[in-house]
Amino acid sequence: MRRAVRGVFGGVAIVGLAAMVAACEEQSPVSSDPDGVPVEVRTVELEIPWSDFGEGVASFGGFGSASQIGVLTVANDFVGTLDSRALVRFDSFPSGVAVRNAEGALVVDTLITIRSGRLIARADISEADSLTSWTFAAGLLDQRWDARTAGWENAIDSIGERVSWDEPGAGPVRSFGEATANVGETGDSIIFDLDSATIAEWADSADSPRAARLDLVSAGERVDLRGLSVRLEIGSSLAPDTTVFRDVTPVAQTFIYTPEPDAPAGALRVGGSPSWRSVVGLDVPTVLNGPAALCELAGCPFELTSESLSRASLVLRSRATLPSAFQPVDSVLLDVRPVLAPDALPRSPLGSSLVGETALGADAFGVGAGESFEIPITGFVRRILDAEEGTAPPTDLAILSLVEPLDVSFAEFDGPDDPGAPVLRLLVTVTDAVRYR
Amino acid sequence: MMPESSRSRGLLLAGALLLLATPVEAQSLLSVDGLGFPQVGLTGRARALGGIGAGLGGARLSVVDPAAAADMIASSIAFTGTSSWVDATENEASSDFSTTRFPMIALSYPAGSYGVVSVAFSSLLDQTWEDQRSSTVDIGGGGQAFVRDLFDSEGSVSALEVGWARRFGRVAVGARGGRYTGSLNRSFTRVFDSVTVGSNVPAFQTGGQWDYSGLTGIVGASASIGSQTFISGSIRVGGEVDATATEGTDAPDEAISMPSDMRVGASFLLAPDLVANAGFQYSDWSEADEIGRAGWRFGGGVEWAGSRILGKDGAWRLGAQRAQLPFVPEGSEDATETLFSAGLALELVQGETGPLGWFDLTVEFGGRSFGNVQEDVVRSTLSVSLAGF
Repeated sequence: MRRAVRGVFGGVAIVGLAAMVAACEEQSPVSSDPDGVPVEVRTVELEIPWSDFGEGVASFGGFGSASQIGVLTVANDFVGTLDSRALVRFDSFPSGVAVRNAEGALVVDTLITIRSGRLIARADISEADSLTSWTFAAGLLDQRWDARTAGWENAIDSIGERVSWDEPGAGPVRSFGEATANVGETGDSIIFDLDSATIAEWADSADSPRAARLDLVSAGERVDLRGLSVRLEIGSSLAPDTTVFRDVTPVAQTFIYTPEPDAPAGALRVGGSPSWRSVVGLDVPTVLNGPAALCELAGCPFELTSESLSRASLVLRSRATLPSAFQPVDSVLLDVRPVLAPDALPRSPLGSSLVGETALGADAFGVGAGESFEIPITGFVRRILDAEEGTAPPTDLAILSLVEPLDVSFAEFDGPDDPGAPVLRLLVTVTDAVRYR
Repeated sequence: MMPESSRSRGLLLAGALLLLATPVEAQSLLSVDGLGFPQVGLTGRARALGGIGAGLGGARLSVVDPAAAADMIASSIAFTGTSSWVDATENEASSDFSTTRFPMIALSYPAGSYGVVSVAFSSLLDQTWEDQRSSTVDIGGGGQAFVRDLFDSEGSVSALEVGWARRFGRVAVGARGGRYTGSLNRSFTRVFDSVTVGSNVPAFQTGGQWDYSGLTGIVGASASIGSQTFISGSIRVGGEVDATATEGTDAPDEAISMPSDMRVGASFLLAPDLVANAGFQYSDWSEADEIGRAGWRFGGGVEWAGSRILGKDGAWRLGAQRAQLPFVPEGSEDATETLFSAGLALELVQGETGPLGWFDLTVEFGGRSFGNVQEDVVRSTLSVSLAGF
């Protein structure tokens, strides 16, 4: 009897487990009647004007240095405005080379002869056609200069030391020639032959500046240079029939330009070299009394909560960069980060990126000015709305170039007093209570 | 006298089953409309014999026939599991869904000459359903957003009752009383596509929850008439179900006027071991909800108990039922259900005074129709009863 009862318990357990497994694959009835859902849900997009959420804007310059950019911009009266020159200081020349002697062993020969040398640069020809031709000039730069702080007027402009150029624009220089780059023939290469005196000076003099200035002679042009080096042809005393080529790379480089763009008047500026950042202060409204579309749906005043906020974005309208020589020639990569210590601006630490990367077309800051861009800041606004009493989440946004600095060009957006003032665009979902019936 | 180990094992099993009991039984698109889909925790035997559950005869635990426990001579536990597979067609669109639930669990304890005490937990209204749809919504200013809306309703109205049953000669009476219980959770989720709102943005969600309470009860009686006829009937007193919105729910409290539910049934001994049964059920939901109306069901079947299955005493059953369902969706004139059933019973343990363990397995098939909707239904019900522990 007891054994039989135990058998029944075992059977019941199996049946129960089977039923539980089956229950795991439940598929509930799905309504086919949209009116059967006992809740009214509407999603509406709102545009909050600057006057209802903006606390102020400010643009700050001076972030980074042209010396950090891998590209050297040279220009000559570009768009009737911009002059820019490249400065480069090379590493010391090699004092020996490794060659194989008569026995075939690899030995270091310190009794070398530098037979020739060439300063080589590569131009960015991505936008050039085969008929494009640029002429460049190069000269030896004797004056001491600091790559990080050098500008058109000053060779050194660091804290505690300011030294002007003898002539504005990193002058004077001892010219060692001109070179012409014909894109259709020589591709992107620009080659200056160094004379023997210059080679001797750069090779022998322990305190030689080994520095050069490169100018663009072709008027009205702007060219980006990269990959500068000095290529040396070296003869060995141990292997006279052997020629060794060595590339000497720069230890410092930068470019200087004029004119310096004026500080933006009320606009938001991003980019340039050194780079500009703009800070936008937000006072996100927690109670909305408009617009009409919202009041019609949900009634006003409407309490804005993070639960009802599906998207928030800051809408900026681009404006033409002036002077136009500073207009971006490639996509503008924007980053947006919360300002963690507004009191420490412009050097406030910034929070994590809110957008990752936002690419804006270059035309938007020239012929296509007036284009609107949405910068998604949903998480940022949600944190403001969710803030508990006594806490103060960041309310300022820094808009900056993803790479600081990227190049000499910068982008500008309309400020609060402009027709295209920033707008806070919200996607809000409103609902009445989920009903029982 | 029960062995102590068997008693404790039985109590453990009962406790585990109470934890598992999920008293909902979403079986139809009709769950969407009105207050849900009315259903009770009928046993496999009751479903096989017409779906009424009254007038079946025999000593057993039934949530619709409290007097049926009067002749139970050993403590027992019974539970029922039901699985449904539904293929619904509306115009030319079709969908299918399935559910598995435990709509009833009950315990009984004979109290000597005082009668039989029982506890039952059963579902009364299934409110589980969901709505999913993808659409493009107008967000104003000429803009549009692609969204996916999910609405989920999950819950049921259940009853937890304590009862008593006793035989007085040829008549047995029974009653149970208790409380409505259960809850309803409803949530709405709107998911925007990432192009609209960007990535890592939580979906919009809102919802509400109501807890049920209120008093309910059921009384019933049965009688043998002659040597071949047995009748029984019961009335569940509906009363009011209070649906109390929990904290954080914006919607107001609700009150549902649950209708009384009346069941009568009779069985007639056609031949040794061959019994015919018929019954009728009626409840008027017109006061409960604006789309409610009188619902009724009649059904019947035959049971042959003279067979042996797998070496055990067993029974075979056939039945049919027809119902007018109480909630009719807007735009529909009628909602009906027709089911045919076949089932078997198997005695698992035979005691000195009768069976101590058995199960009933029933398969129903048929359809429901309302408006443009046609549901093809297959439903299996497994009931297990254990006694003597």
